[in-house]
Amino acid sequence: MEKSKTRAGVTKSFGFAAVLTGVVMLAGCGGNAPGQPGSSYRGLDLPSILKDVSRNPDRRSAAAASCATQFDRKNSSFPFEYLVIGLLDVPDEDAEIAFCQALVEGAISGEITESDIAKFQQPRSQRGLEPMGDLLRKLLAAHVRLTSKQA
Amino acid sequence: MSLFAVRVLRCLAVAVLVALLPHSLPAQADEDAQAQKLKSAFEAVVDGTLNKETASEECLLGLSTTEVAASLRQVTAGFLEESQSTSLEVFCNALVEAAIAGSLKPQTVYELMASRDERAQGLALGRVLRAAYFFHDPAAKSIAPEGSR
Repeated sequence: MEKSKTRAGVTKSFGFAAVLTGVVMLAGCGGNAPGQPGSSYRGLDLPSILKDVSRNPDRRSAAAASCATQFDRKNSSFPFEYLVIGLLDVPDEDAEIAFCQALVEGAISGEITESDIAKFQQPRSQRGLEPMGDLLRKLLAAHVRLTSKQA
Repeated sequence: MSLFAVRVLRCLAVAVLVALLPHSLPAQADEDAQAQKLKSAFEAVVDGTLNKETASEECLLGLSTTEVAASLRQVTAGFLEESQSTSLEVFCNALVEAAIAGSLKPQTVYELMASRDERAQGLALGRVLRAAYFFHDPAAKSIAPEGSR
């Protein structure tokens, strides 16, 4: 009985991981046509943005800004930002842009791949939760690299 | 974002909110007691009245006997690049080291397990993973103290 009742909190916490999974996955569902070289990222889904910026690192600022726009809190009731705030140790107001900058940095470095993102389009029963942990680690590593450069 | 994506996001949000609904009072009291026990172990290792090996064992026991142990093993295996057979042990060792170094507050461990507040719980999960990331690698213990922002 003790076992079954313990750690419901952690269960709920992993709900946040599931939310983050959902955000990454669903961002890929909202896309439109692929962008043209030299165009902005407006209207592109997240996987397309990451694919393009990995080949065009000079567009990192535009890519991060476009990514952050997709996670506008005014348009979403998702609490994923709290996980990001804690993981990346950033102020509340910087959660989206820090997450997106890390995602873009990870894509440019080749650490976060299309394959990583594609895993989240599989049912959780197939992929398990290791890819989530893997993605969170890569995000944190990329964020640490970025903040080290800025220091 | 497309209308479709917004709708699906809303559906997921509802699912998360349902998962966050309060449990029965007895279950809540039991969770609080378990969380308090683990918090006390972390406080004891910080103030030097418990050795780190025992604290790690308490942590591992606390995490291993939960219904989400399998999920925890998977996430920490991916996050720490460990096998699932050792990931919780490595995770706990790292958390204890982080607590001793002042980079993880025992209260954060408590909030992860027992908080009903989604903000506190989300922050706690992020902070615990962050601490584990830095302290499972002895060469990377340069994390700023928790709560510095």
